[in-house]
This record gives sequence, C-alpha cells and structure tokens, in this order.
Amino acid sequence: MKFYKGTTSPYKVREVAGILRPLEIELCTTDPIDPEETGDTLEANAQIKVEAYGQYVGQKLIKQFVSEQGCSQEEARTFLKLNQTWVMCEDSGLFIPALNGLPGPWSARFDDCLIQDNRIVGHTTSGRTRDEIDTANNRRVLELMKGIEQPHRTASFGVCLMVADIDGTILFKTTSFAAGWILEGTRGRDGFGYDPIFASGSSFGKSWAEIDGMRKNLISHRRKALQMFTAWLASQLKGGER
Amino acid sequence: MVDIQTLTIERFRALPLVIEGESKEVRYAGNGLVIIRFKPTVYSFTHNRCAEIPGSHIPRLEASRIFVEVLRAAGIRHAYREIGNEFVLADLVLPHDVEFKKYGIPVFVPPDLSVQEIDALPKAPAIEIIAKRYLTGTTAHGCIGMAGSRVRKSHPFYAGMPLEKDGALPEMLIRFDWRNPLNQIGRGERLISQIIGNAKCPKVLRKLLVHYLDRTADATLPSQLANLYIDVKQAQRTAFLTAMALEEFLASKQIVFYDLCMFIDESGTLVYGEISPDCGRFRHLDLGSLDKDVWRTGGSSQDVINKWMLLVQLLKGEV
Repeated sequence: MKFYKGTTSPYKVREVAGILRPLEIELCTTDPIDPEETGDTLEANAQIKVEAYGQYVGQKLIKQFVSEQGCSQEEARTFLKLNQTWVMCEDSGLFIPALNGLPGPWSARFDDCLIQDNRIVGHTTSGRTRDEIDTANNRRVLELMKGIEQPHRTASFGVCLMVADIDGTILFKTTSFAAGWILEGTRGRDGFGYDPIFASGSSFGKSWAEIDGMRKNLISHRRKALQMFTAWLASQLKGGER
Repeated sequence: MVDIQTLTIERFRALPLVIEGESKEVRYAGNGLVIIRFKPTVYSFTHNRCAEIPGSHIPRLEASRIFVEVLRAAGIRHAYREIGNEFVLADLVLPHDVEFKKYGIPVFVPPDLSVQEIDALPKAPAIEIIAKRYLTGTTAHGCIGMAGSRVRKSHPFYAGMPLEKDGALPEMLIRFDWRNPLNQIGRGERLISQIIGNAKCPKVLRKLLVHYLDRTADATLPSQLANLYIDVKQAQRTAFLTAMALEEFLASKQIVFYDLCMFIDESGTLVYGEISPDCGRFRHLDLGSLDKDVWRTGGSSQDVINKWMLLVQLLKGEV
C-alpha cells in the first residue's frame, strides 16, 4: 500500500508525514499540480483536488511502469490498483462566524478575494509566494475582526480529507474541526497558515504558532481527520499487510 | 496463585529470586508468573545522582496501572497481569544471561516448568527501547552541532526544517540502547591511573573522580547489532504503537512526552516493563515538567514525588 500526498503546501506534507510515518504508512510526494478550486465548500474543493491528483499520479505511474516493465497500460493500471496505490488530498480552512463563515474554503487565497458585506464577490491571482500570501491573509482577517469583541471572536479550523485511487475514484472522505478563537494580533513563529492568529482551549490560549509541531499535531483538526483515516485504513489492509 | 494484595515483604523475599537490579526485584511465583517489587529509587546519569526516595514507588505503580490499561485497550500485549499497591503480578519474561552476569546473580531456571515450557517463555534482550519526540537528552548532548542545524534539502518530507535543542523532532524516533549497569567497579580506578599516572592527587578528590568515572551510560546500538538480540522491525512496530497509544491518551490530559523508554521481548511483540513517570520526560501543556528533571537539577526528593503524584492525578482526571 502506497499513499501519495497531493498538495502544493510543504507544511501540510510535514504535518501529515509526522503523524502517519510512525504508523509505517508509506507516504510519497508528487509534483504539485494546482487544479482550480471552484467549490463553495471544503468537501467540493477536496474532491476537485483528489480527482485531479489521482488521475495525474495514475498517468505518471502507468507511464513509468510501462517503460520499466515493458507491459501494457492496462496491465500497469491493474497492478497499481491491486497494489493499492492511492492519493490523499485535503482542503482546509478557517471558519469565523462573525465574518459569515469567511475565509472558509477561500482561506488559502483570502487576500486575493474581493469581499463585500462579508461575502466573496470576486477573485484575482496575485502570484505571491505561500509565505507572502499567508502573512497577507492573517493581516486581512485581523483587519476584518477589528472592533469585534469576545465571545464573537470564535472560530474553527476545518479540514476535509479524501482518498482516491489512480482513476480518481473516491474511496474515503472525512471532515474534522478544531474550535478556538481569533487573537488580536499574530503570535509565535511555528506552524503555518492562520496558526499565528488562532488560539484554542486545548493550547491553553496560546496561538497555534506558539506551540511546537508535535503539540499541535496532538490537537489539530488534521490529526482528528487522520485518526478517522487510519481507522478506515485498518479495514482496507490486505492479508499479511499491516 | 499468590495474592499480591495481601503479600507481605517477608513472604515476597522467601520466593526464589529471578533478577534484581537498581530499580526492581523480581521473584518467581510459579506457573510462569513473577512478582515484581518496584524499589523506591531514582537515578539520573547526567547529574550522577542516585537515591532511594521513600514512597517514590507508589506513583510509579499507579501510573503503570493506568498506562498498562491504555495499552490493553489498544490491543498491545503487556506482561503485567495485575498491579497492586506494593507488588506487580506478571508473566515471566526470562532475563538475558548478560543481566545475571551484570548483577552477579545465578541464572534463573523456573523449577516447575519443563524444558519445552521454558523454551516457550518470552525472552528479554539486554536492550532498552526509547521513543523520542524531542531533541533532548543524550541525542542532544551527544550530537554536537545537531541543535541549530537543518534537515537536508533533499528530504522528501522535512526539507529545510530546523532542529532545535529541546525542540520537537519532525517525527517520532525509536532507538535501541544496550543496557549497562549503573557502575562498572574498577573502570574509574583504571581511567584515573591512565590519566594522572603517578602524579599526586588528594585522596578525597581521587575518590570522587573514581566514583564519577565508574559510571557507565547505556550504549545506542546500530539496528543491525540490535537485531542480533531482538526482532528490530517487529519491536519498532510495537514501540511505535505503544508510544502512539500512550501519546493519544496523554494528549487527552494535555500532556506530552519528550521521550519514553520501554522494554519489549526478543520477538518484538510483548511489552513487559514498567511504564511510569520514571520512564520518560512528561510535560503538561500548562503546568510544565511532571518528571524527575526537577531532581536531576538539584530539587529535593519530595519535589520528585510531588511532580509524579501530580502526573498520576492528571492521568486519573482528579485535577
């Protein structure tokens, strides 16, 4: 059994690897592709990604297998499917009720969005690096949250995780959330995305960028989703495997 | 079968000795079972401190009771059958010959079991297994320059990640250490003779140096060497599963471990040792250290017991 993690974020790869590798799950990376995320929900966008990555990885591996083994494409496809070669993708986001659920599925590119009355009305692509856009996204959320007091600063991180085979057929999906609140400013230097402005009871009020990766991995929404995933995985193991 | 709830120390001492080390005394109860007494000792190699701390066995027993239950619920086999207030009833895991030699104890052979039954008993390697989450302890001290370095750029998952002293490692590591006795009498005298030769040295200073140099640390084994004594692959699996089950449970109490040592039999499938505050570094997300670090750094023995009792209370959900 082999899993390919499809993402453009090296931080997500680190987080998933840190959780799954001790379980002896063979995790591989693939070149990032960036299918347009046109969905309005985490689930819709996760589906777009996992189907695209599944087919991309499938085509690539079939080509490689045909060239190395001298077999037909169909034989290569059959082998990869029997060998349980799967792709895992996710869409995650920060949901703030006081902002009508924004940034939500637009979390990764929030600062590139046009907003009116807490609704997304348009989107441009600025071409900034991941770190640059992360910083800008945090700044924008903090601006929009100015003047909003507790208890209206509540927020949650959500993630929808999906697994597909090399044809892009979805085999598994799960969604998990972690509840917390939005801080008044950025704090900490660990983590990624919205971690510097997000705190929770489980982190004792510290921002998620103030706790190290190991501690974050024990409380995060991604951890919860991966727990569901590993439980599912246990039911998929073939005899003799673990 | 011996009832560990009513067993007295005298009756315990009357049982045949299996093995006795710095922290435990194991005696045979018949039918492939042993009774274990946790000695109330605490040891720190780094700071060369070893002491008997009355009452320190109580939180160790209580924590072991909780942790063994967690492992059982996770489907991980553990040799402990029952953990009482003073003693533990467990399946006999035959100590390795080197352990008997190390402590000068005759090799124990269960008198009531046949050769076939003895062959079928689980066997203990002279190895301790450490699950490591943070760059601390011997790895941090022994690998000069590792703290402050970065993961190689070609690494598929953690390229460029910084490694910091006392910082989280990218993923859990499992290490195999050969167990050495705390002191190797004669080693200090030999080393002192080599270092200072016939030069004059005040007797008190010489005695101190000899005592210090008698100490022996456990030695990290290359996995191929470890594999000569334990099924490394299977043991690694069991160690990961054990550590992850405990980590999951501890996380529900807002506690993490930095490192955790455990004992697994030769087949790599049976966990058999104590799992307690004495076996690792535990940190509460808010309350900080819950282990013997307070004692390693000069705190009193009561400080250690207080920390360990707090850990037990947190595990039980009493605070």
